[in-house]
Amino acid sequence: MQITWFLARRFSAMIAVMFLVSVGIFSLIHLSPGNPIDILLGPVPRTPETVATLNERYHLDEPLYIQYWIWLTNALQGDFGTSIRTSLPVSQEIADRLPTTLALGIYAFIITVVGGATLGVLAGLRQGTNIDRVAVITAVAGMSIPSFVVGVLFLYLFAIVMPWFPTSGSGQGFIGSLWHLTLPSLSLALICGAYITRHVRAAYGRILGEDYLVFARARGVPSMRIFVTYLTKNAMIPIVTISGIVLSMLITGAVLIEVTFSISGIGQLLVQSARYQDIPMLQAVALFMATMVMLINLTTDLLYSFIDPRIRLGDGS
Amino acid sequence: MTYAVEDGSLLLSVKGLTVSRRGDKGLQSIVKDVDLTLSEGETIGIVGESGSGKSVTAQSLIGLAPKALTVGGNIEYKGSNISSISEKRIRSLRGSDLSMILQDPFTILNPLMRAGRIIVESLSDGGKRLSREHRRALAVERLKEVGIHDESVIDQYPFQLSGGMRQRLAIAAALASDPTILIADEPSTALDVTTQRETMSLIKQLQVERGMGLILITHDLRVAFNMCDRIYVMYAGSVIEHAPADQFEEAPMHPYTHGLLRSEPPIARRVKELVSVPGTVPTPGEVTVGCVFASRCRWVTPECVEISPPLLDLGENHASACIRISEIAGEIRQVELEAADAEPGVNSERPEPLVSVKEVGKEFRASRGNMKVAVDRVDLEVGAGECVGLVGESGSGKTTLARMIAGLEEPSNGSILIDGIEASNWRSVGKAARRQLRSTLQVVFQDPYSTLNPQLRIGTVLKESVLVHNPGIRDVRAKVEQLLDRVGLSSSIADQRPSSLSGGMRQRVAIARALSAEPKFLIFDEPVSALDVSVQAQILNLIRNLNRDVGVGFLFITHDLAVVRQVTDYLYVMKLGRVVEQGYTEDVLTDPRENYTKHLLDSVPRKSGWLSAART
Repeated sequence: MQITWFLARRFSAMIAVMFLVSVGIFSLIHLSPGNPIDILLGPVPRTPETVATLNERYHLDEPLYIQYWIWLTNALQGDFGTSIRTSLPVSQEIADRLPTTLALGIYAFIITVVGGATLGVLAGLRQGTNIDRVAVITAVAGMSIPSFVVGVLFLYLFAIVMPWFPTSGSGQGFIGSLWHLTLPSLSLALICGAYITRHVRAAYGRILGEDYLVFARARGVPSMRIFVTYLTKNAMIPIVTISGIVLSMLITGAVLIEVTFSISGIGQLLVQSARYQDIPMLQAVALFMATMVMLINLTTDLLYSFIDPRIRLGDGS
Repeated sequence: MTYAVEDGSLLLSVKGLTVSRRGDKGLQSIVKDVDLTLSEGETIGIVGESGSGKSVTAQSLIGLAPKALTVGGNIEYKGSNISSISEKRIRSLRGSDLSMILQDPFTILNPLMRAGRIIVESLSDGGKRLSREHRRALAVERLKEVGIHDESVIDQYPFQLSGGMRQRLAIAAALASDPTILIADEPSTALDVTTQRETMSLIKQLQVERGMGLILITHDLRVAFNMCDRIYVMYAGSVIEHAPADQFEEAPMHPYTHGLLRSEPPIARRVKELVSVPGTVPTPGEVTVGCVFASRCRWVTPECVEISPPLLDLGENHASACIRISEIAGEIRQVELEAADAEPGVNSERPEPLVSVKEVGKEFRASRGNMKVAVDRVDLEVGAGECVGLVGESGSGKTTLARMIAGLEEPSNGSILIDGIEASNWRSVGKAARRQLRSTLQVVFQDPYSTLNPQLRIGTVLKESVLVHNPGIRDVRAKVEQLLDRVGLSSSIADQRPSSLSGGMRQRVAIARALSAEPKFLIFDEPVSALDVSVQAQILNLIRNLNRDVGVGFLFITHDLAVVRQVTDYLYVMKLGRVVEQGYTEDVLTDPRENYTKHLLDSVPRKSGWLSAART
């Protein structure tokens, strides 16, 4: 019972936030400096005909709330209008670039979680040892160096000094993509992995000191079982929380990395669109990113309640 | 030195157990040269206050001392040495040979695991060879053994169970692989008195049925008397006396044990002055040569500080680490008699009410729309200069009521009148009245560790408080010194930070801070329950003297009936949000009318018959 209630609350909260975000994104066209018509015209010469076409297309002579409604219903059906820069449908452009960005994100997330968590677990279990010190220093370094700096450094080291990896592009086929995306994913993963390492280390360290762990050992529960069902399962609770935040960081971080490595993904699209004041494209990308972040948060909450019975069943107090 | 074991074969024999920590000042020993023995079916108690090293001793026996500590000495289990075997081998002994339960039932169970699984995983092979139904049946059976007959419990998570149930579940888990020795580290300290007695009875009963060896670690001598065959008393890392339990009760043979016994406030009568042991427990490694108790002992001689006293055999299995014991035994007995002086309780007319609580209730929103009644139409009065007690177990609503009186919580209904000001809603009374209320009423909380800002020196804390309530004061410093003096602290304390003070000293500072407002009314919320017995008596004496000398009205909240008897004039007993009995403390505790009050009184550890009464 409590779980459905919990989900319903979270979901309606997400809808409410999405509404506010979409209003903000829609307003972009009116908030940007200059006349909406001029912006939408882009390089096309201003004639009464073109203006009339645009007015009809974007319903610019209607009241704002009707404009918003039309824009929203279209957006929900995947129609974000035409890109000013390329004059192609916006949805088409996004669909073309999405696989690359997704590949980059997933690749980076895997490196982040596998690398960051492994280091975090090792450090957490052996706090105060050399492994721990190395992990902590790596984490601090990872968090303090911006990803584009790391990107440039990696490019210099592993693409120019030692030309193992390509300097740009996203490659063809699975192997090609993997080869092209390794350096960008690594750069992206370093900073996010650092957060994971720190949190995993803290979570394991804290749980190691918990009474229930001592009690489990005192009654002879095998150490492998203690590691899995006591340490790891309890540590998952804070780790899931931070994973959500890290995934959101990956999405925003991808923008810088795609530009650094000249990868034609969503992030690069965002930068190009911003430069051209390609408002329909910007709106679509922004809404897409916002939706992603919110879906990640919702998933985090779901996982959370799945792991922790106190949330699922409601703490008595 | 060896002591004859009377009956049963020897299970555990510990010789020269030493636990030390590498600190800033070199090696500090937390446990020093401890010898103990345990036979089949025997119960031994290790009794001591905080810092005595009793818990570390217990953990060392089962190879679970924190990694930062170095354990030395010889531990023999059934004749073979287990002190130097590998972690892997000692692990194979845990659960099936040696098992342990810990103090806090709220933290010792994996919060993500259902009760049934907690029991099954504790079986010797983790229950792997059994079928699903068989495992379930076994879990149900194990729960029945610890007195949980409700089968649905096995599908519940720990957070859904009460403290007493959790401790029972923990006991079932600890005993799942039928250990030969059970170590129980303060198993009932975190529980209410009634639950405490039930839990102890259960442990005792299981120990007898199974013929286990039981090692009980406790700070409470009265509990140890009821549970144990033999008792070891530890102080600052050393065993300073051990003897059969009945001999201990009759004739303690060490000044510390003697002091500890007498510091226990009696439940049966109000005494003129509670006996306390002056000073505080030395920190580990502080005393390297000489008797560890010398600095607090009234019989100390120069010789005591020069020679580390060995445990002297006094015959009949009684040993004491006091080199003067043969000289002073008679004198100790004499002091015993002096302390027994009783004082009649107050039952004169109650003074004019200073605080008057009428029909006050508090409801909390529990899960979805359901309201939980924490306090249910309570009437309570505290007169000027009167000391009123409020007792109840956890969940009785006593703390919620106190918080409402202190303005920290808003009552759902009813009225609270404090010194003529209607104070049921502090937000609506206006600024001037609110300020007046704040200085009329002050609170002293349970935990002196968390109510003092660790960054501020004691002098600053008090100065700040004085200036808040009396901004125009001319000589703040003198006022601070006067406050410190009133709570029995020297003015040099003002330059120290809370971390360098003992728990008792911190609680004195907290009281001084409350007095700085020159209040007419003080609320004490469990002011001594976080303190050791020997220190508790010091603070109780202080509170009594303050009430007598300063003429402030007190509301004294506690779960401890013996404490309330020593301090208060009038008493309210709360249960599940209601006041079930009230009257002069002396009358209520001598001749309780309500069954609940009788039950509470009955649950207080006493000389004999404490455990047997719980089983019926």
